[in-house]
Amino acid sequence: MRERWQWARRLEAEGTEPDPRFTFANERTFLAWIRTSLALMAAGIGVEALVTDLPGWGRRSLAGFLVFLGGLLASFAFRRWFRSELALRRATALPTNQLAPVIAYGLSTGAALAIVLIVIG
Amino acid sequence: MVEPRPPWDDGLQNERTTLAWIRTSLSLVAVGTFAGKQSGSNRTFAVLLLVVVATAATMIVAAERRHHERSHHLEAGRPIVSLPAVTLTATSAVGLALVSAVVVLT
Repeated sequence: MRERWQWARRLEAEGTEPDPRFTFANERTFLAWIRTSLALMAAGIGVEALVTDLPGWGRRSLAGFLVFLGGLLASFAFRRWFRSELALRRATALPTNQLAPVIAYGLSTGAALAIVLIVIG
Repeated sequence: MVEPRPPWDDGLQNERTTLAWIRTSLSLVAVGTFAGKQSGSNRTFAVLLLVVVATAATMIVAAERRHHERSHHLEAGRPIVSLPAVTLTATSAVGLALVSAVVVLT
């Protein structure tokens, strides 16, 4: 078996190895959130690239907000993956989902911002 | 004593997960390309493209290798968690967010 790095081993040493299905599911969930965060970044870049009706500052604030939301989701996704993996290994309850509120409220805020910008622009 | 194989097929979950890694790597390339194109500078575009394609290629090769290792680990009951891969992916996404923020705000 290939030698793995020390810091990676620390996670493996924690608790007991869960049913592989859960590890796979946790990993896929993380990747899905990362793809969501990437989509938000793309949306932000898209606003900057394609929106012509809004004033420069309006476009940039909306685009910046969407990109920021994407980056936020990516860091939250990692945290969630790590905490979930620990919870699986220790057989404790999975951490509460803090990502769904972030994207829900974040997107609502983004939409509200866009509406405001369109109305005043 | 040999452990009875679980009723589910180890190979299918493994395959789904590897495909998810590949999809994510490709999304990384797509966003990196878009950000690079939008930066307006050919040099930034080229550098960003190179970085995301190199990262994605590394991720995909590593994912395929882990896919192979995992099928052995599953048989042997060894750990299959991939902390380095997850960390690299999250770091790449956050890094790309920072680059994209610079691109859209300047």
